[in-house]
Amino acid sequence: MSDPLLSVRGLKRHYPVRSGILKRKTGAVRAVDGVSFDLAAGETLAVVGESGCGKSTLAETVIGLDEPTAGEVTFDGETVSDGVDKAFRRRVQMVFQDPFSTLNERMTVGRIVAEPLAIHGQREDDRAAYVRELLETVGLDPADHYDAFPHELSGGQRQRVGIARALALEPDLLVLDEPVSALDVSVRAGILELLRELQAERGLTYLLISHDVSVVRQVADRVAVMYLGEFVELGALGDVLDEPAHPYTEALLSSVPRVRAEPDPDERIRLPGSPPDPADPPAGCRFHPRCHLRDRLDDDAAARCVAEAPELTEREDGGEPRPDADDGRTVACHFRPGDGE
Amino acid sequence: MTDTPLLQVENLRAQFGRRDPLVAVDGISYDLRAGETLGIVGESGAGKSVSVRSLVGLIDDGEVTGSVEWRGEELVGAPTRELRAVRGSGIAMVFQNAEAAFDPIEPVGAQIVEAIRASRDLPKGAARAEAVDLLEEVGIGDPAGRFGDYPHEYSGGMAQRAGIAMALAGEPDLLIADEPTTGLDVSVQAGIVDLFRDLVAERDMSLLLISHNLGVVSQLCERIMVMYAGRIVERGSREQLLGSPRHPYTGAFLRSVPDVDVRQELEPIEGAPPSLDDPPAGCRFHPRCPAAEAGLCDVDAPPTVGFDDGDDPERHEATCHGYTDAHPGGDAFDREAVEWIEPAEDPERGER
Repeated sequence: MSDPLLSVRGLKRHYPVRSGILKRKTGAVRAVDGVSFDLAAGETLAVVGESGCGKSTLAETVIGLDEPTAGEVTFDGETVSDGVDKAFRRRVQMVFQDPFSTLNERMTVGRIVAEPLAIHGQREDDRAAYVRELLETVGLDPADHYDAFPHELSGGQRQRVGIARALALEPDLLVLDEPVSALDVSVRAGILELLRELQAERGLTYLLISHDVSVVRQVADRVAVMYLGEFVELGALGDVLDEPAHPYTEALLSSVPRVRAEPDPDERIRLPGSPPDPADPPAGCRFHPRCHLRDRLDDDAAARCVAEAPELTEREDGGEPRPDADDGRTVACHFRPGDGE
Repeated sequence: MTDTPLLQVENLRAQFGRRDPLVAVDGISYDLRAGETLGIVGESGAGKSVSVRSLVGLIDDGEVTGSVEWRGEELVGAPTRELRAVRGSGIAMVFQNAEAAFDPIEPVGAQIVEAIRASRDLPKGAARAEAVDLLEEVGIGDPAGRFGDYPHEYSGGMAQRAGIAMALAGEPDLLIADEPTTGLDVSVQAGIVDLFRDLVAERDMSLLLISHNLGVVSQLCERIMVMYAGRIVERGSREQLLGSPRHPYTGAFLRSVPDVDVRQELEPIEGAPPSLDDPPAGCRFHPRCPAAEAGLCDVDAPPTVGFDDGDDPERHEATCHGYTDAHPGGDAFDREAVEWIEPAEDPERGER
């Protein structure tokens, strides 16, 4: 890979847990606990995981809405984890989940989209015309929608406004935080299609945050699976979703209810319990208390999962590290890929 | 099947407001036999939720008309006391927000005991033992230990399971579940889907499941109805509906669901579901339908068309003009499969 657009190394975001009448710090919620990845210009990396895994905190920390506890974020060669500058704020934009709550209800669509331009003092001469052009780009009719208020729009139209606003400053990187989760299924497909088109036309780079593997399947190039503040698997979309190596990835994929004319209840891996408390994660591999693989391991092997935290590494079948791997898939499991069958 | 249905719904209508009423459910009819699993799918504003709440008198600010017969007993307009009795034993409901089913200041176990004793004359000790059994049946680990916990001490998935235990307290014959897995993580959702499947099999209970998630519905329901803008547009067995969808909306809806296993051409449905305070005339799907015929689909209420799907005994019906001679037809409409066509009772009804 040439120099990545975004590079994240050892990123941590811990929140203090305070208790007692003096509110003394008694522990920490490790929302993001040592995450590293590179994002090349023009590609889409999806971070997928269930609620509480830390994926939204990761997005907020990466774009400087939240300060990292440790680690480094580099954007286009510049370190930004110690504070973002105006150029970064222009070049990195965010699209949020809920278009209903993020748009100012008292502003017209035209003003909402123009606002970032006003803040950054750009396009002063042709701002209105440019905003109309942006609305067309996202599939809205400026004649109908420029002077409309958010409450006059459907959910899909509002999300299009949110995307137009994010595009206004011609950013390089869009952080998409659950961009279609609040939308009806029939509308969702249109927004995903729009995101695909925009990327192809403008060479945009996407960091997609989603709990929905089927959304990830439709837009991502690479996938990171997050569990309790850590990446447990990272690799190309096809590798991770078609041949999941980490047992959590496997269970997550298997849990998605497929549309089936003849359902087979036995095709699924059952994941027992719920995710543990990120303030007190299990020792060793954080997934071990829920892992279906451990039942098939002998006692010595299973003891390793409790004692030793697995690193995110490239391995070949048999669990041996493989320094010359070319598919770039990394997995944080002592026994996958390869062992544990 | 010869048994009389458990539930017979005839021309059910629910509207809100006097002036310019909003008709959330506009004349739907269906029946449900003992042990059946029926799913209602649709998007926001389809009227799915109101359609089941109005069955058991849970709509207090709207007007419900039509007929709902539960084991032959009319529920529309029935006194509150009678409805409460039906809700306590015959029909139970589970909602999306399970925690809301509980009183926040009373332990979960005590509330289930109350629900058991409200439906049956059991001494406290026996009711308590049964409540613990119910918690165990719905998959709460250490049910005796969790008995005294308050609702907020249960996680989202556990609260949904406890809500189901509460619904089972009156030994219902029909469980109505309204978006029971929405908002839950997929791994938790999958556990709840398993639980419903087990309960239906072991208790010989009927299930009426409302969801926007076709995956969840297809995993649990043998019959499926598709609602759009307050009306049922297609109904049939799971195989019929997923294998040979007949209504253009059903087909488009199926194609718009992103597949988790393959990257596909995404085909959104143009536009958005209509607002119910101003529904389109004629067929309510016509503004978004690629096969809509001007002068027909935007004017007249569509007829109901029955289809012959080989040896599947289930009735397969869709309400669509596309199968009639007045419409030019096309690839989307397999007229060979049409068995009968019944004109809309009041063709003008689509017009307001």
